[in-house]
This record gives sequence, C-alpha cells and structure tokens, in this order.
Amino acid sequence: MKEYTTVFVVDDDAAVRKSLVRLLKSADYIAESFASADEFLECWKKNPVPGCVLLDIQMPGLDGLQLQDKLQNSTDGIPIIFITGHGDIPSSVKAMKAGAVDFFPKPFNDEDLLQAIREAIHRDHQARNDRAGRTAVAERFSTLTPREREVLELVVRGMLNKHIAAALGASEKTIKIHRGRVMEKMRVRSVADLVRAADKIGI
Amino acid sequence: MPPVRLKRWMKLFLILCFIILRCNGPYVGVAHAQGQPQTDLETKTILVLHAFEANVPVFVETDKGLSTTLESNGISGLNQFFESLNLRRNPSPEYRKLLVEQMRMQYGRRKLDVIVTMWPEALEFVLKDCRDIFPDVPILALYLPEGFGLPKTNRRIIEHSTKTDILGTFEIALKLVPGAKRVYVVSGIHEVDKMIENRARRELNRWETRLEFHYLSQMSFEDMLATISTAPPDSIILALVLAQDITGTSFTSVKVAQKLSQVSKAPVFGLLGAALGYGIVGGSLISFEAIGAKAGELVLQILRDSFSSPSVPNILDVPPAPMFDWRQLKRWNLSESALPKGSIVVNREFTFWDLKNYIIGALAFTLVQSLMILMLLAQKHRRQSAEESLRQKREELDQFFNVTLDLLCIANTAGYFLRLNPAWEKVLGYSREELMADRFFDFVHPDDLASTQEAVSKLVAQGELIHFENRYRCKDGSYRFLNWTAASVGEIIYAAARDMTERLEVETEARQRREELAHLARVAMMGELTASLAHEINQPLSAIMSNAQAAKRYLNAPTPDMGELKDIINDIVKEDTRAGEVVNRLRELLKKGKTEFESLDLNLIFKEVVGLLHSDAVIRDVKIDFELDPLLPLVRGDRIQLQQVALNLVMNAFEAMNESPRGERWVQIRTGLKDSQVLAAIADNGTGVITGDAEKVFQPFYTTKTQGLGMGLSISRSIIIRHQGRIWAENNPGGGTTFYFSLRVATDEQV
Repeated sequence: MKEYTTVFVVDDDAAVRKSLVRLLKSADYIAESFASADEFLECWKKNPVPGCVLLDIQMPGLDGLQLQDKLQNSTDGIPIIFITGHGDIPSSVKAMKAGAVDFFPKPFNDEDLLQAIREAIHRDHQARNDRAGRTAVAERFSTLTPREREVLELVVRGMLNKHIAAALGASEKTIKIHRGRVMEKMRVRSVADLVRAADKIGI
Repeated sequence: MPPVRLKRWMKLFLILCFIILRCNGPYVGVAHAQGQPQTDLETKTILVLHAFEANVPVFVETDKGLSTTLESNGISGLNQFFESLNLRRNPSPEYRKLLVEQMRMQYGRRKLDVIVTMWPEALEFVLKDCRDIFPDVPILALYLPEGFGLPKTNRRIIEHSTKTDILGTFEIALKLVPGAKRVYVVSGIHEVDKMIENRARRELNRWETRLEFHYLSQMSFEDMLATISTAPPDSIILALVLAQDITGTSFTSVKVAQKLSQVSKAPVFGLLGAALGYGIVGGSLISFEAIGAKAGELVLQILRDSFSSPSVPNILDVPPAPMFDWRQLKRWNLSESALPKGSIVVNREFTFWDLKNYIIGALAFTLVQSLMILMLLAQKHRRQSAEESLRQKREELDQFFNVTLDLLCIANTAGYFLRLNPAWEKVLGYSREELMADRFFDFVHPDDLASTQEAVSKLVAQGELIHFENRYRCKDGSYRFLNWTAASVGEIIYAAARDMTERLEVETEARQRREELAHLARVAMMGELTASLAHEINQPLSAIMSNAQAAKRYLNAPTPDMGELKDIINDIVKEDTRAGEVVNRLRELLKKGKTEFESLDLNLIFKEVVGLLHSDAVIRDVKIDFELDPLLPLVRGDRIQLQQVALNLVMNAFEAMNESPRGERWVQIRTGLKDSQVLAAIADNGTGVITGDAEKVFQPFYTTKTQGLGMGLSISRSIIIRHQGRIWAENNPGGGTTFYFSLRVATDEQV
C-alpha cells in the first residue's frame, strides 16, 4: 500500500465523499477519503504516498485553501484538485495561483476529473523524481570541500580557469585540479551538466 | 294599580252610585202616559159648562183634572169645549135667552158626546133652557148640593154631589189644636153655603157643651174678618163655604182663605182643596182637581162602554182627603204627628234634618264624584303625559330606526320581514316592499342557508342570538357580509345586522399585505442565501453524478459487480431525495402562501432551517450548537411563517459575527418549556446589535447591516404577535446577542 499511488478525497459531505471514492475505484484508482482537512493531513504526513488530493474548498475547520498552504510549505508536496459547490471566482483564482492542478465546480464530468487526476499524478511523479534528483546532487555537493564549492560556483557562472584562479588567488593549475575533482565528485561530464545540477540545488 | 283595572273599578263605582241616588233621590215617580189612546176616542167631543165665571177656583181646578185625564187618553184639547155661563152675575132672563141662542149657534150642529155641568145652575140650564139643543147628550152633573132634587126628566144624568167633610175637618182641627176653647165658623148665605152651615150645626152640636161656637154667616165678610182678628190663639177658625155673604158679595174660597189667614191669630181650617195654599191649615178637603180627574175617567168610561152600560154608575162619588199646608202647620206650630194617616202635605219646605239622607248622600256623592273627577283628571294627565312621553320615545326610536347605518328589522318566525329601516335599501339595493315580499331566507347566500335556518331555530328556542354571520344577496347579485344580533319574543324577531363587507375586505387586504410583505422578506432572504442554497443542492447533485458515472464504468466491465451497482442506485435515490427536499423547502419559503395554522415541532423547524443554512455556516465558518429540549410540546402556528422567523434570527446571528475572528464564531439554538410556553433562544457571540433600546431592533427599516432593508425583525415580530407570542432581544454578558421568542403550547384538541 505504501508504494501505491493513491487519490485522496477530502470533503465534509459524506455522500459526496462516498460517490467520489466509488468513481475513482471504478477508474481503477486507489482512493481514500477524509471528512476534514485535518484528518487527511494527519494521515498523509505519516505516510505521504504518491498520488493527489481531491479537495473541497468549503469545509468546517481547516478549509481547502488553508490545507493547500500547509501542503505547499511542506517538503513533500502533493498535487491538489479543488472541487467546490460554489465555483466562486475569487477562491478559484487563489487556488490556481497557489498551484492547484485544476478546479471543478460541482457537479463535474467524470472524464474531466479523471483527466485532471491523471495529470496530477503525473505531476506528482515528476515532482517526486525532481525531488529525488535534487537529493542526489545535494549529496554529491556535500562531499565537496569548501575550496571545491567555491570553484563550482564560479564555474557555473561561466568563468574561465585563469579568471577563477585570479579571483581565488590560486594558480591556474590548482584551479584545474579542483575543477576536475568537482566534475568527478558531482558525476558530471560537461560544464552544462554541472550547471543543471547546481541549478537543482539552487546554486 | 294598572290604569286599565282602575278604570274598570271606577266605572263600576259610578254605576253603583247612580243606582243608589236614583233610589233615594227626589225623582221618584216620573210620570208616564197611562193606557193606550183609543182610536175612536179621538173623534169624541165633550162640552163643559161652568155655572159661573171661568176664573172661579172650583172650575179652574176641576177643568185641570178633567182636561189632563182626557188628553192623556187621547181626547184632543180641540175637542174639549169649556163654556162659562156667568149666570150668577147675569141673572136676567134676556141674558139666558141670548145665552141659549149662543149655544145653539155654537153647538147646534156639532155632535156632542158628553156634557159635563158644574154647579146646579149649569145642569138646570142644560135641562131646561137647552133641552132642544142637546136633547140626547149624556150629562155628568158635578157639584150638585146634597139632596138636590133633579128636575123632572127622562134623561139619564150621573150625579155628583160635593159632600164636604165638616166632621172630619173638625176632628182633625181638634187633634191639632187640643187646647182649643172657641170655634169660629165662617159661612155665607148662598143656598150651598146655608146647606153646609146647617149640616155643620148638626154635626158639631155635640161639642157645643165643651167649646164656644161662633157662627158668623149673618155678618158681612168685613165684620167676619174683624171678629176673627179678635179671636184668641186657642181658637179654631173653621171656614165652611162662603160663596156669597149677607151683603150679596160673591167670594171664592181662595179669597176667603187669604183674608182669614191674614187677620187670624188662630189656625184656619177649611173644607175645599182649592183654598189649600192660600192660608188654611187644611182639613178633610174636597179636591176639585181630583174631582175633575175622576169625572174625566167617568167620561172616558161613558164614551167607551156607552152611556147605558150597567158598568157606568149613577153617582160619581169622590171622597174628601186629609190635606194640609206645611207652612201653616209650622206657622201655628202644629204637630205633624197628629195628622191622620195618609195625609197629603203641600208646600213642604225641607229642613236640613229632613234632607239629611239626601244631603249626606249628595255630599258623599259629591265627594266621591269629586274624588273620581280628580282621579280621572290625574289619570288623564298621567295618561296624557305617558302618551306624550311614549310618543316622544317612539319618535326618538323612529328617528334612530331611520338614521342608523345598521340594518334593523322586525320579522316573524314564518320567515317574513314585517318592518325594515331605510338602511336596508341603501345596503342591499332593494326597495323595502321587495324585501318584504319574499321570505328573508330567499336573500341568504345558498352556502349560508343551512346555518341561517339553524340560527333562527336557535334564536326562537333561546330568545337571543349574537354575532351570527351570513351573506345577503344584493339586488345587483353581489353579496354583503352581515353580522347579526337578534332577540325573539313569541313569533316576533327583532334583529340588527351590521354590514361587515368593507371591514372584512379591509382586513383581508391588510392580511394579504402582511403576507406579501412577509413573502418579500423571505424572497430577499433567499436571495442572500443563493450561494449557500446552490451548494446545498450541488452536494447531492454532485454525489449523484459521481455515482452514476461510477456505475457506467462498472457496467463496462466484463463482469459488473451487481452488489456495488445496487448500492450505487440506492445512493442515487437517496441523494436525489435530499436535493428534492432542499428544493421543496426553498419552494415553500418562496411560496406566496395563505396563513394556515397547524401543530408544529419547533425543534424540527430549527433543524430544517439550519439545514438550509449549512453551507452558509460553513462558508462563514460558524459553528452551530443545538440545545433542543427533546420533550418540547408542539406549538400552534403557520409552518412557513415560523420557519421564516427562525431563518431570520439565525441569519442575523451569522451576520452579527462578520467581524468576529474565524474559528470563534458560534451560534447556539436552544428550545425549552418555560412558564408553560415554548421558548426559543438564538444566541451568537458577535458584536451585539443592541445599543440602547432593545425594542428598536424590531422597528421597520432598522438595520446595522450595510445590505438589507431592515424589515426582517419587524416582520418576525408581527408574525410572532399574530401567533399570540412574544419576541425580544438581550445582550449576552460575554458578548453577542440572544434573541428569544415564546409561543403558546398547542392544546390537546388542536394537536
């Protein structure tokens, strides 16, 4: 279960919840439902399985938008598809800006919803891959010496060896050695790869 | 005593009085004509001959008695002839011859039936001088002296002699004047005078030893008077008959009596009734009038039975009668008790004592009559003033009857109007004649006919009826609502009706306005709730949609899971019902309904209302707490109107918390029984709407909201008031406001 992609349904309306779960299961998804955002959050934090969330905007207690905020701020995100009985424009704009995959006013077409779910799961997959890549780069980065990190930063800015040597007050030969170690430690073969890796970890 | 009974009593009393007075009064013996007039008597003719002058009392009196008797029996005065022969004054044969010729001329060709002569000279004249003039006529000869020898004749003559009652008169005189010592006898020298005096002397002879008798016939009348004037009071003056004194002067008994009475100091007694009243005390008197009357009767008998009939007597006897002059009795102070039995007393003057019965009777009568007159006057006055005030009252009532705007009528239980006031014509448009022509049931609306008939029966049974309503048809076919009050007496119904049509119309219109306003307020509230309500409907629709789509997918599978499909269908039905309920509630609230009272569970009303507000509460992040009494009794009310109140109060509570931080917004709805009324409270922890007068929030157009008319609470209050309940608001100690309303518990009957 841990590794299966799951669609979470969060709605305070039991009937809506039940019907959505049923629809998702009919489309061969694994679905799980929660009556409130808090319940979902609690559960998901313990076990952040891949998937997406169908989230009702208006709910007692923590509402959809607030949950979105919380999820955005956490390291492990999950794509959100909003569903609403209202379809009011201000909350939908807000939701989309905050990165919602889609926004459906009730009642909605199943094909549209399933399309959005597929999209969301895809995003989650990508996000998870991204997150996984970043972690590897970061690990490699952490093996660099401080001098090597300095060199890396200057290399990704596109500086030549002799300029780096001048900037760091070292010989061009030394810089060449550091540069080679960085390339080796970061497991990249070209400067372009290095730049991409550095970008992943925000350098 | 009622006037009618008084009147009857008085009438009886008057009749009684009249009868008593008639019996005791002086009107006894009202004369009536006696006998039946004989037709054949009408043609009879009677000749009366007086020997002397016509004015001699004996003739006057006799004629009176005779004539009265004849006339009362049908013999007209025209057939009674009276002739005075004046033979005493004219004794010459020439006169007699002349007289005979006169008679011949007057009566020679006339058929006479009876001749009445008075005094012997008249009889002699007829028999001798006029024997060839009236040869066969029957004669009744009056006033013949006693022992008068009739001249030789073959004719039948009925004789009458005046038998004066000297002895009777004298004995009476002695009784009246018991101590008399002298008797003065007045007489004359006429043949009749002498004859009577002679008899007197014989008959009174036996008293001469005891009494001193003075016969005065040998004196002139003047000397007689002189002698009498010297007579002492213990004397008896006995006046016999004085036709002629010694000097040859003729006298009448009246004149003699008058003169004697004037001079005498002693009572004068006489023999002739003619003198009574002229100075004599009286005596056993010969009444000329009575003789005349008897003679009349005899004449009538002769005329009827024929002269030769054996029933006709030969002699007419008229006995004297004791007669007296009351004034003379008093003058001489003679005792009335000494008078013989059956005496006639003339000139009686009545003393008060004599009149006592009359006076007492008259006084009593006068008194009673006066009292009755007074009573009658008083009664009349009372009746008049009663009639006057009655008339005034009637006029007043008539005025009211005519001017009142209400419909007044008098009707009978048979169903007809008897009297109607003009208001009927104005209100219904018929003339009163038209209304009275038909039964009043004919004007009643067909739907009200049964109830009207029942009401009339009830009215007749109980005597009164109040606040009965029905509809009457106007002439133009429209109907007017009438509210009736009526009373019945016997078969008569008195009723007043008020035309309620306009008032009912106004009331209906006002109710419609209120309902319209409440409806508008509901529509406005629904407007505010649109988003929330859309959500409430979208939820089940969404569930249905998802379920349906899921089912579709399952059906595409090679082996569909039928159990799952069944569940799905069930859920679809359930959710559809749920959506339908929301729509129904919405439709109810938007409906323009008439007020309909039913028994309601207030808890349920709050739950339904909160159902509609669920989404709104979610959006507003308001937590709703229920604290409902599970044993709450039912209330009586209009479902929609009470829902409106509940909805309004809960929505107001929501609004009141717009400024409160999210997560701290709650509304508490409580119900319970307090003071045997159902109490509801809606509390919020908002800003608290009450500043100052808590009543102000219920006024129209009072609002703290930027949007809204401010009619919600005003309408809620009018709804609760029409449910005979109360609504009010209080600030909570910890902030926020609580709105309360109380309603009457439905009675068992209503439930």
